[in-house]
Amino acid sequence: MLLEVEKGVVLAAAPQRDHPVSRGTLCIKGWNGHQLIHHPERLTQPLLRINDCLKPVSWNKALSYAAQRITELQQAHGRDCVGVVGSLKTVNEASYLLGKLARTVLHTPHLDAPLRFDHAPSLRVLREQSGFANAAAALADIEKAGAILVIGADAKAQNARAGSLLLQAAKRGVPVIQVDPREQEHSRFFRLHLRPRPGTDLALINALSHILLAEGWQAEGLAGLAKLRDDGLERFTPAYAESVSGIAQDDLRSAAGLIAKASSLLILFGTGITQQANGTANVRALWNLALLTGSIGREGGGLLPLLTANNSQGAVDTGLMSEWGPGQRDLQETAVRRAIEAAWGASLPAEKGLTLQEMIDHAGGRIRALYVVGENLAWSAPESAKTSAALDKLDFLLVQDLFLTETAARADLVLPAASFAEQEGSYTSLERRLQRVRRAIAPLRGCKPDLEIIQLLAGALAAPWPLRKAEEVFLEMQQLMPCYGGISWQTIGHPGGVLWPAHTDDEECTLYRKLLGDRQGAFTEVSTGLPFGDEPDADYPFTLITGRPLFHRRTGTLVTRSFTLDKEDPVATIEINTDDARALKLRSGWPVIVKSRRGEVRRTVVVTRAVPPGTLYLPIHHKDGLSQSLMPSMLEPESAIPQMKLCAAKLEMV
Amino acid sequence: MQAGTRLVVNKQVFLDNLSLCMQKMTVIGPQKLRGGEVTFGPLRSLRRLTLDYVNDLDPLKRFFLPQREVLFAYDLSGKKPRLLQPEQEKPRLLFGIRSCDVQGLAHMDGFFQGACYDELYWARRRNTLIISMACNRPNESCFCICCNGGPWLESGFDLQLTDLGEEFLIDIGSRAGRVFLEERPMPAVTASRRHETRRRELMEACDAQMVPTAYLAKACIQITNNRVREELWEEMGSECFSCGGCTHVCPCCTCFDVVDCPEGAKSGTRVRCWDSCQYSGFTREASGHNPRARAKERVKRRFYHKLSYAYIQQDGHPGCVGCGRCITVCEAFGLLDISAVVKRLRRDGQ
Ligand code: SF4
Ligand code: SF4
Repeated sequence: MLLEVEKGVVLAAAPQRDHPVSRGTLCIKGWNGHQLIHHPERLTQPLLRINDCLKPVSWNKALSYAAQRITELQQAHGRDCVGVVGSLKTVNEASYLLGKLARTVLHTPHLDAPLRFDHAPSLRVLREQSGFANAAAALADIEKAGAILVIGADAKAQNARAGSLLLQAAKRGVPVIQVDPREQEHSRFFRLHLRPRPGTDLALINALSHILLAEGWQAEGLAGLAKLRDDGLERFTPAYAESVSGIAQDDLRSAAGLIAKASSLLILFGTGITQQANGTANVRALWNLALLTGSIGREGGGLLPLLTANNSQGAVDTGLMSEWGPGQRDLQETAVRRAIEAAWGASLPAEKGLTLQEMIDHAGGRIRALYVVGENLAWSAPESAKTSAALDKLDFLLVQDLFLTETAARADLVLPAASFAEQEGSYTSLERRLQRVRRAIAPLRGCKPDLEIIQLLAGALAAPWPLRKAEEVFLEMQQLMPCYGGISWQTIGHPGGVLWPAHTDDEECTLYRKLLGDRQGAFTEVSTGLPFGDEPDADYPFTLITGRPLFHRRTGTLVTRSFTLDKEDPVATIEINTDDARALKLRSGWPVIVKSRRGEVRRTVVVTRAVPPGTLYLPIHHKDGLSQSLMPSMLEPESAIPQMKLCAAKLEMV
Repeated sequence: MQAGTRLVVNKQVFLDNLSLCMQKMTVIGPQKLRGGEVTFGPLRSLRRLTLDYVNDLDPLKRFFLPQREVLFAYDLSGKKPRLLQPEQEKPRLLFGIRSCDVQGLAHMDGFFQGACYDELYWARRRNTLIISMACNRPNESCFCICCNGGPWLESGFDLQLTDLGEEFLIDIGSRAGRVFLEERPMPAVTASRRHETRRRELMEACDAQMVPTAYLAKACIQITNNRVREELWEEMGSECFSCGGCTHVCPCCTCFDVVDCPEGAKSGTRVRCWDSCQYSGFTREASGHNPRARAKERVKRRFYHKLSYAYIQQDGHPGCVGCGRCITVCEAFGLLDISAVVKRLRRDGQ
């Protein structure tokens, strides 16, 4: 994307024809998102809470206050009383230094990124199976796929590029099988649309594998098939899957048939299958399915999780997830720890860190101070009321953001950060594409780029960190990140940058081919699945699912500050099936109260056949921020992702 | 010199004069970005100017109707309220603009005069000398020949240049263009038969590169007579990503939104920015009712405006100059740009 600047003001965004991914397109957010840069609500001074009021203070005062409070609390409660939450939007270099700051200067293990809330299961399974916590495919694979399975994702709304390639594939006649309880705008163009009962994806995915195996439709030369069959797949018969998911056996067979006939299977998936009790089990099942079709490491095949933010992958790569350090390396491995400690010249905290939801749950207890960079936790975390109360329990909340978000408004100290147009660095997209972002304008007066703030804070905490530029930090972090090896700062400055690993091969999508070769990886365990913890009953008869509409991004901090985008979505709605609406005597446009076991929100009814009977669909709405207040925060046991995709709910008249 | 007579000037001499203009005027011209893509922007010297380019994807209407502009700023903090108008811009010279964009300006002129007379647009229009470059390098998506948008034009420019290699062949389109040539030390000769032949050869070569894909006539008739099946609009609406790209890049699209951006209680700005008929917020009424709530209605509207006889009669031509930009920017690639849609309408009518 190009930005047009006149006299220090960003006037416009323009698409870039020679960019290999966008090829001259921009989505609605790309065209209009720049309006936030000069939004009058931008924070331009640090704000310190004095007598329960946020008052402007100088940067010097702010930084020394932060350092003093953190030091006091660490002296009183131990160094691990501090938690750090990274950003999915800032540049890699800032993320890398944030991790280093947390683990060495603050010496706390409690560091995590909001990716925990979206794709923790995807990253976990992919890393377990392949050694890499990232997509096992690239966007270009959508153009080469023999068949495509889209599950738990609305590609059109969540990633216009993926959505566009998917639509083109469907129009070319490539069989696209969509699995989603709700009908989407593009569903009509897909070959098959399977609409399982919410939360029953595991049975459906495993049944597809079951059919492939039973019919002998699997790829040739696979090892471990007998074990796969006997240790779990066997019980996932089409009949069983039908009883659980409500999908007719014939439909399951047709889907499996389409997959079997195709030269490769590409699986696109989203939070619809990860934010569940079976989040990790679902991704495991997808891995097995892809492997059975011989699609892992093959052009036009593999697994592509639709990560939600511009630098989600960068946050994983640079070490912001609690379990992995820079280069996605496992911090529990001694050799890895030694190497990182030697490079950083400091020891790393020994114990395992808390994950994001756990930090919130322990706020005021084990966690006394939280440093949050660019994330509106008060709105992104489930059970909003509980989250806000937890944030209030902290002795010190330090927030770094562009705007006074609901989280920043609760902070003791707020540091005004610079926007994407005001900083230098690199981003890594969901397909591992490492690209540079260049400063279009100087940071707004009073704001500082994240990279600089983190270094200044380290300095205030008495760490001898010189103030370095993005390029220098990039060179340092590369030393610790084999995955970014061999990539030069110049190369990533070209339109489209590079897909890592660039040292293995220049060609796209080769990661898995190179690494797995003929071996194709191994099957993973088949889980029976857990019941979802918030079942409907007589009091809460509906299953409520959430989703993100086209013009949204995460908590809306940025899109609500673009007047064009803001205008697109004035009304917070809830979708209900036509028959249910008739039974409840509800009409489109009427206000209702949606209640779950945790909270309630007011919404306007939309009556539609797009949602199946018994299901409510709640578009995450960014203005009242309350969508997540309904959703449960209990953790999926393996990846510690909150089960925030679905819950039991009821409707009441206003 | 007479308007209508073609002249020939040495290319380097012309460019040297252009370079001299940069001291007094803002000269906007095509320049290469990192990675090789060409975009138009202010030039401080000839160093960054390139003459070998396919047209900018970002339409040149932006120099007259910017994507975002401050209409005025207000300040209520003093005794008297103060209104601050944007500064007067330096005279500008737009060099190298392609024919389709010149034709697009003619379309916009029609919209911004009369009842919708727009001071800011016209201030920029009057302030800018248009030296266009007849198109010797069409993009693969260009189809201006179908829409009377180029590659060569008869009017709409102050000067139109044809690149003959060592020389520029110049069509004079206005008094301002003639004065520009006369006031500068540029030895010009009247075009000879050789020059004219070369010009014709270039035109033919350019025509040959363009595949006429825009079957506008049939689509105009079908849209005017409401002979397009609703199901087809329905299908196209479902395909659309509502990105607004098609209207943003279209040299014939003029829609904008005006918003107030208060900075505290006492001051702020009123800002105008491009809007798009493809956005649902475009037509939503204060009551919440939206006459074009669905993408289907919005896509239909866009083509009705571009191709129906009611508008052709009003504007004198269809709302398309064949620049091909909507082909490139459409997220629903190959499905909803104007050339794809007229083809679909034509097939649907059979
Ligand atoms: S409709 Fe498309 S091809 Fe025609 S002028 Fe507009 S952008 Fe160019
Ligand atoms: S460019 Fe294409 S996808 Fe975008 S609004 Fe226009 S028609 Fe729709």
